Amino acid sequence: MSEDRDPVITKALNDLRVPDHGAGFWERLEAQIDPSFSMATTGADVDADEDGLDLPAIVALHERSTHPRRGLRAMAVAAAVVAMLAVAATLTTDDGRDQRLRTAETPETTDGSTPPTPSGPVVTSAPPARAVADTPEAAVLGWLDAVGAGDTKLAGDLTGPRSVAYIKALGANLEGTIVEAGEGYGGWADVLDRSTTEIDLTTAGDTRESITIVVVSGTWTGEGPDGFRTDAIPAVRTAGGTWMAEPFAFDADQGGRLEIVSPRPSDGEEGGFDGLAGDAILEAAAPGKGTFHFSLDDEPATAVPGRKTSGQGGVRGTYDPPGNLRSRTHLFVVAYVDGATITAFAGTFAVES
Amino acid sequence: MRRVDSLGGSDERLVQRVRAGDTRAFPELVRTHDERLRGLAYKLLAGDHHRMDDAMQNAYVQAYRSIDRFRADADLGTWLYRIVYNACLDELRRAKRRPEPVDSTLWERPSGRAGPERAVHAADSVLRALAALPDDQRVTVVLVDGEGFDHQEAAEILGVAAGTIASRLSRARATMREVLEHDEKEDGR
Repeated sequence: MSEDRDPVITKALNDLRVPDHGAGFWERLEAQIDPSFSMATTGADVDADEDGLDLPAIVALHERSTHPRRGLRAMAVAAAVVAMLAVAATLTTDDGRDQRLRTAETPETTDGSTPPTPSGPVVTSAPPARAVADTPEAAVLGWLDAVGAGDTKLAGDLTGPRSVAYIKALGANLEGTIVEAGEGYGGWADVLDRSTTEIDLTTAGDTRESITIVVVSGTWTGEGPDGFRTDAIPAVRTAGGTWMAEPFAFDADQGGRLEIVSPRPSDGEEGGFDGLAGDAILEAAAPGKGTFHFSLDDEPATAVPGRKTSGQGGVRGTYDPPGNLRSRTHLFVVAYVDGATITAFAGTFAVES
Repeated sequence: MRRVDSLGGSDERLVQRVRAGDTRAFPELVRTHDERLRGLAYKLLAGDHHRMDDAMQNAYVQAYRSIDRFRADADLGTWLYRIVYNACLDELRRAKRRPEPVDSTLWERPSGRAGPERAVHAADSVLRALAALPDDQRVTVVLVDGEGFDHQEAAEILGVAAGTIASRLSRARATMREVLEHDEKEDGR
């Protein structure tokens, strides 16, 4: 025991009341150590003495601070990845929801490059099959359902190279990241009235490759506040014409931060925004020097180059919607593209009469 | 690292049950140590209870997966303490990779308070003082003044020279005292 303790600081620290864990902490832990869950994460070898966990920081300013319990539905989705080549397979979740995915023989790249061929003896066995998606929606919904089911193999197949690169840059592994992602995204597999909208950034501005933001909306019933919720997840087209989800296409140094400036985040309601006047603007800020894309009420996106902000090291993008906004609830989507970074956010705000 | 707790018979039986595949025994096992571990994580992470939960969730999952490597002659409390401590450092490292908010108003001091709110405000002051420290100073002051490690032990844990501990401690204490005294004066107005 140290004799060199500062009595004032020691008392202050000892008197500090430490809060209990948040709601659902122990349930989440139990879910994570459930045997069926553990089977899905076999190989995530850990050492208590190692520096560094295998879970990266997946950060967005408006990420939900609650942790919806993972939907550990082991059936159905996992069965969809079969060792067949170029044979269509239907993924059927236990609520009857279908997404058309295929299996393919080789990895695909988004830059058109050929995957490296290993040197040495020729291996005659077939390469492992991987799931591929033909549409942005199939990629994103397939990824969400796989994450919700704890199917790290399928979710990994559908995770794009930008996200994989970011995860690697953080020293994490893909499987562990997907497991972690179940907290924030897995609950989408249980949303009964789930609907999607695609916002194509390719036609909206100077984006040189095919990027689509898939906006998922529905009534959230997992842990945390129930009610309408919406998420925006990018998808990028591969050189082979298929699509991959890019939920973590962040810069290794800057992360995926995207701050919504207008409408202002509400103080009282988690994930909510203050109301706006009919002639209000939308504004967002982000690190780097990229381009913002704004979409309002499912309309095509408008590209807005970021303008530097004085002394803050980032950029802002301002969008002035044409005409006056009507008095009702509006859905807005903001995407930010800066080199390898693609960050997207979807939310709602009300225009008061 | 010093021994934080001893592996009692109850812990030993729970460890055996976990190793035998009884997953329900694991939460029971860590709950007996949770309060102390929570205190460590809460202070290291400057009172951010969301990050405390995230770090401890990661730590407990890691402990569960590594339970077969836990030696019967070792101390469970110390072993868990080490895992939670490492998970908190990882959380701090991850946070470093995140850019600061564009419009940061974090830790803006609330207006003066009085009466029954004073006790709550005292806790606010401690958390604000912890948050005002760079990570390396906060970890040092929590280990020495909060957890009772001596300089040499803290140096070994952090992998730095004992002299570094002394200098970090000196700066950390000065900053914390400044924040605490400032807030106390404000309350006295």
